[in-house]
Amino acid sequence: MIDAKRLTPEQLDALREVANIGSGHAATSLSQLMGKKVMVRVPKILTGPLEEVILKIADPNDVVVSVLLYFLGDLTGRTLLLYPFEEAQELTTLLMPTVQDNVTEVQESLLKEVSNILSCSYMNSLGELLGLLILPSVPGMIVDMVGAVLSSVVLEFGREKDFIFCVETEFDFGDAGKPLSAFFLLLPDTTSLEAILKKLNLEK
Amino acid sequence: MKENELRVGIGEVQVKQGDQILVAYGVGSCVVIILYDEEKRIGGLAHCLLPSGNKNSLKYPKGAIEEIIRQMSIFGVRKNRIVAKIVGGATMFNGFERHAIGRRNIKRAREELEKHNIPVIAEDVFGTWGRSIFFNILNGEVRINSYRHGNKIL
Repeated sequence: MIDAKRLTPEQLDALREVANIGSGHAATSLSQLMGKKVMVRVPKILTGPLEEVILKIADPNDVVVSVLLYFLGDLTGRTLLLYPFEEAQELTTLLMPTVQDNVTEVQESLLKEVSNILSCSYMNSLGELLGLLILPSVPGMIVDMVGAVLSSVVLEFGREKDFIFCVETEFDFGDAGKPLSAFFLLLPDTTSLEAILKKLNLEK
Repeated sequence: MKENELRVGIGEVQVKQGDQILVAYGVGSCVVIILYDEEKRIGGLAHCLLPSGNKNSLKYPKGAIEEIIRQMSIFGVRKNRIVAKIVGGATMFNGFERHAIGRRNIKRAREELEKHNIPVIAEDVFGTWGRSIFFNILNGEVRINSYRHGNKIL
């Protein structure tokens, strides 16, 4: 069994690169959808106790729009997309400037779909790269405090209960004057982490 | 954060006396257990992650309750003076739960308190929303703030 606490620098580099490819594809999809330039930051690997990782992402009290998908197949785990509340509103306005009726319902559906596309293109490119079959679930969405969302997602599904391994990518889709960003978190199960490293021939 | 507020992180326990507010931010499926002695104005708050685990630790209700009682007894609090409040145990993503951590956390917290014969005088549990908890030790009031359901006093 691999220990996520003791990954070598080479393994971390490889995982960052894998995330880079995944998020690159996801950004391209988002860009096509919006007809705008979308930038991706260099992915970060976040590891550590739950509390510490939450604090690295945001203030636990901040309200975020969060969309969760889980994936099955050769790799298992979850992806979680977090949009700070204001950016989520901005994003829906950018995508659908003429919405008037039932704003929240339409916005919700739109954000779910955008997140679905982002997650699936991310996972598809990972699957292609690694030669693994990955099947995503339908998305589930909630708007709530980031601490509550993250801790619950990790505890409900995680195996290494209070130790998190996650890959974070930040998308930038704002104009020069107005930076907008969203966070993409990839939370693979420990066995899947092992499978990824094995495919990359970096298994110890 | 105000001067007399003290944050209790995940897997932590705090016991204080007098003009202090113990705060737990963004509680989802976690359970927050609050113990209070009204007469002495001494209170403790535990922010537990899971119903149980390998070790006896503050991350689980059993260890956390024992630790609060131990620290309160240093202040001279007798166990039969203590009352409890339980908050949290939400299921954040409905339909996605696999282990029902929230429900099990609450069940475990109730069971452990019963073992110590500590009465639970108020609860705000379950649901599908996150909560931030502010426990005012001076008057024993517990304020619960949630994004989707506003403020509530226990």
